[in-house]
Amino acid sequence: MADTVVVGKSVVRTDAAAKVRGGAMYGVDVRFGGMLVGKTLRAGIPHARIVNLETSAAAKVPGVRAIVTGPDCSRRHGLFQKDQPALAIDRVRYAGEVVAAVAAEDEEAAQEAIERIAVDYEELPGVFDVMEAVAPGAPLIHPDQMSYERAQVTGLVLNPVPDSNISYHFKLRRGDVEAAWSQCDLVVEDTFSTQFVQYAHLEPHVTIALYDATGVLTLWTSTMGPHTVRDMLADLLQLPQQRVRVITNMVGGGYGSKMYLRAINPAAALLAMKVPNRHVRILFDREDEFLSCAGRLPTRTTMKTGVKQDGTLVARQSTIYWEKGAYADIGAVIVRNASYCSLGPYRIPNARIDGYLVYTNRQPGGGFRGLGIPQVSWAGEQQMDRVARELGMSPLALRRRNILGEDDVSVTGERMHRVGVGECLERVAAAIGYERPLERTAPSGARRGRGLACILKSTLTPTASFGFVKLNNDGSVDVITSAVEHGQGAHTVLAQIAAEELSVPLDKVRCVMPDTSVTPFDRSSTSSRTTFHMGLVVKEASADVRRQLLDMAGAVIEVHPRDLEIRDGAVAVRGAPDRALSYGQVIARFYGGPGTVLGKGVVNTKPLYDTMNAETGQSSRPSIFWMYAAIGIEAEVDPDTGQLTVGRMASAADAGKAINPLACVQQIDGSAIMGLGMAMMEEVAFDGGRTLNPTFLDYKIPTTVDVPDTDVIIVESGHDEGPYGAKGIGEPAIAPVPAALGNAVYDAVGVQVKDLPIRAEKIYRALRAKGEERG
Amino acid sequence: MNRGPDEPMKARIELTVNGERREALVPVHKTLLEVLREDLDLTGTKHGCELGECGTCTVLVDGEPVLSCLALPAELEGREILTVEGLAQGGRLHPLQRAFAELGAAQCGYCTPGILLVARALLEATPVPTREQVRVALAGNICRCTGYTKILDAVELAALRMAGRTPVATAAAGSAR
Repeated sequence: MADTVVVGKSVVRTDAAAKVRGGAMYGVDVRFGGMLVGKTLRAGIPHARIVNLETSAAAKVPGVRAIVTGPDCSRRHGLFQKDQPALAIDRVRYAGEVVAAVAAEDEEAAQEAIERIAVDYEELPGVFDVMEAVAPGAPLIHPDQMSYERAQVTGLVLNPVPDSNISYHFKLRRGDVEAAWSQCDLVVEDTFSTQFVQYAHLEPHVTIALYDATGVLTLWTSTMGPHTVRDMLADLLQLPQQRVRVITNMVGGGYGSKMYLRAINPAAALLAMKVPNRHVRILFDREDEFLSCAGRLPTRTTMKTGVKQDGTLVARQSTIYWEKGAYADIGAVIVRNASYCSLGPYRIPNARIDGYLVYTNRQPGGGFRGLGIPQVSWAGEQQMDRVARELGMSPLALRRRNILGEDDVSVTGERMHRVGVGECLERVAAAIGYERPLERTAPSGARRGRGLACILKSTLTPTASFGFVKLNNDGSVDVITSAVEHGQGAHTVLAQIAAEELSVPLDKVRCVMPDTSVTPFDRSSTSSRTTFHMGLVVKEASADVRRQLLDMAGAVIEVHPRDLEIRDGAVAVRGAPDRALSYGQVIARFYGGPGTVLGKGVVNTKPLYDTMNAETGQSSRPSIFWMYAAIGIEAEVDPDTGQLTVGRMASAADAGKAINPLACVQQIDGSAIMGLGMAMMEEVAFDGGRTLNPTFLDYKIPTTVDVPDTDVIIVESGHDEGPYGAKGIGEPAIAPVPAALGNAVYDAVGVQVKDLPIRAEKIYRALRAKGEERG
Repeated sequence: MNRGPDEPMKARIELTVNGERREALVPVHKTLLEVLREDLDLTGTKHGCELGECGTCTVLVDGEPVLSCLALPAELEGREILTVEGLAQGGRLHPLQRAFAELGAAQCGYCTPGILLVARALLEATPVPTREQVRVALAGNICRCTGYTKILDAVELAALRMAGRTPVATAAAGSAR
C-alpha cells in the first residue's frame, strides 16, 4: 500500500474542539419555539390485563393538547417478529411498559395529566426467571406469538416454539459430540450466569416529533440507527418512508441503546400526529432510562468441554438460555451470533450448541456493546482455565494449543484468514507478565492473581450501506452519509478517509449529520461496523469524485484523463506539475461558473455472505469481518473479606488497520473499563418484575477511583476487503473482561465465582464454603 | 402535584454568568441547570440524571463545583457562575480544553463540560496534583465512554503546561503501543 498522509495518523478528533467548548449539538439541545412537553405513563405492574384506561380527567387539565394510548395504533413493531405495540394494548408485559402519553403546553400540565390517567389492571401471574419461563406449564407471555407478522433480517428467520415462551432456537451441530466425549481424557461441565446490565449513557433518550402541513412526520431523535427508526416507524404508522424523516445530531453515548423503537419514538410520533404543526418533545428522565428502555440480556449457560491429555480440544457443548424480557427486539441476532461464538476463538472439531431466546415479564434487554459475547465468554473462558488446571497445564499454554490461526477452520466451517487473536493474547500476557513469577502476597496481606481471556466476535452480515462525497466550488468536501457520531469517532475516521482519497487537508472535510430525507441508507452505526462499511463507501465515493475530476479537467485543458493525476489537492498533468488546476478551477472552468462534483459509494456484503444453515449453524462466511480481543488482569483479593481490587489491566484488540490509532485506543480502553463495571459491580436488581435500583446512586458504574492503570494494545492483522485493511474496534475489548477477572480471582484465592458480577460477598462465601469443605 | 389555573409564580433573577450580568424571568422552582439551558441558551451544561448523582451538569460557583441540577438560581444572585462556555478566553482554549482535545479525553463528549469545570477547580486549588488527587477530585463525575485514562492524562498534562513545565511527549500518540 502506498504511504498515506492522514490515514493511520492519530489526528485530533474533528469533533473535539466543539465538544470541549460545550458547543457540540446533541439531541437534547435541539429546541423549537412553542414546543409541547410530552410525558409517558409507565404501567408499574409487570404482567396484567388492562381492564380500563380512563383519560377524560387528564384531558380536562388546562394546557393538555393530546393524549395517546395503545388503541391509537393497532399495529405492532419488531425486527423479526412484530410482537410489540407502540403503547401497551390490552396487556402489560413489563413494569416499565408505557401505557399512555400526553402532550401539554408545559411540564406541570403534562405531569398533572399523567397523574390523572386512571388505569384498572387485572394482575396476571408473571414469569421473572428464565428457567421458570421455559418450564412446562409456565404462563405464556405472548399467547399469540405464532400469529405475529415475521420478517427476515440479516439472514435470520425466527422459529418460535409453539405454546412456549421461546421465540427463537439457535442450533449448531458440528462433528459428533456424543461420540467425541468418549475420546476425551477429561470432560468438565459447569453452569454460569450473567446479570442484567444498564447502558448508562449520560445523554438520555430524547425525541422531538412534528407532523407538518405537508403530511411529513419529522423526528429529531438521539438514535444510533436513523434509517432503522424511519423504516420501523413508517411500517408501524403505515406511512411512506419519504414521509417519515429522522434527523440525528451528536449522540451522547449509545453502546447499543438508542436503537429500534423504544417507547419514546412511537409515543412522540403518535402525539405529534394528533396536534399537527406543533413540536412535541419527550425527554426520558433517568428513571425512564432504567425502567422503560433496555439493557444487556441475562443468561444462564451450561457448558461442557472435553480435551485430550495434551490439551487438544475435542468437543464443546453449550446450552444457553437468553432472557429477552417482554419483547423480542434484536434478541435473535444476539442469540445466534453470540451462541456460535460461545465456542471461543478455537479449533473444535465437535460442537453442539443450543441457544434459546426466552420471553419473561422483565424489561426487554437489547443489543449491548459486545452483543452477547461478554456473557458467553464468561462461561467459555473460565472453563478454559478450569480445563487447564485439571490438566496441570498453564491456561496460556492451553489456549496456545487450540487458538485459531491462518487457514484454520472455525466452528461454523469457515476457513479463517488474518486472525489476530493469538497476537492479542500473547501481547496482553506479556504486558501483565503472565509467565513471570508473581509475588503472591501483597503487603496488605491480600492474595494476588492473574487471569487471561480472549474472544472473537462477528458483525451484522449481510448489510448494505450507501453514501455520497460532495466536492464544493472552493475545494472543500462534504461527506454525506448516515453514520452517527455517538462518541466512537466515526466522523473523524470517515473524514480522514475522504481527506486521504481526495488529497485535501482534514479541516476541509466535514461529515454531515444523518437526515433520512437527505443522507442515504445505512442500517445503523452499531456492531462496530462503521469504519469498515462506511469507510468503504466513502473511499469508493471519493474515487468516483476523482474520476469525474480527471474527466472534467481533461476536457477543460484538452488532455487525455490518463495523462492527468490528482496531486496535492489539485489536478496536474503528469510530468508537468506546473500545469495544475485546483479542484475549484476545474469546476469553474468546466461549468463556466459554480458547480459541484458528486461521488457515490455503495457497499453490499451480501455476495460474500453465506447464509447460515438453520439446522447446523454452518456457514463458510457468517460475518464480513471478525473482531478479536484479549484481556490480561492482575488482581488482589483480601482472603478474609473477599474484597477485590484490580491492580492492572492490559487490553488488546485487532483493528485490522488503525485508521486513527488514538481513536482505537479510546475505543479499546473505554470498552475494557465498561467490561470491568459489568465484571465487578453492575447489576440491575429485580424483585420479581420490579426494578429496585433505577438510579446512579444505587446502580454503580466505574468512576475514576475504581479503574486501574491500563495498557492498551492495537493489533493490526489487516483485512482483505476492509478500507486500508481496517475493520471494527468498538466492541471486542469489553467481552473478555469478566472471564479474565474471574480467572484472576481463582488464581489469587482458588475459588471460582460462576455468577456475575464478581462481588466481594460472593468471593467471601465461596472462600468460606471451601474452608468448610476442607474442615 | 396540584396546580391552580394561574401560571406558576415567576421571579426576575439576575445572575453573573461567565463574567456577564444576565437577567431572566423564570418560575421560582426552576433549577440553575434549566435556567442556563432554557433561558440563557447556554446549552454546554448538560443534564444526565437531574438527581445530583452523575456530575454531568457541574458548573463553578465562585470557583467551587456545584451541581446545577440541584441549585436554585435565586440563591446564586451576586455570585460568579462559570460554565463551559466561559472557559476559553476569546478564541483561545483553556489549557484543560486543549489537553482534552489533543489526548482524546472526550469521546461522546457529553460528560466533558462538567469534568472540565471540576478539573479547573482542582487546578486552582492544587496546581500540580498527583494522579490520585485527580482521581479523587473527579470521582463524582461519571464518564461511560473513555474509561477515564485519557481524562486523567489530560488533567495532568494541562497542569504541567499551566505550571510552565511542558512535558516532552505530548498528545496524539497517546498510550498506543
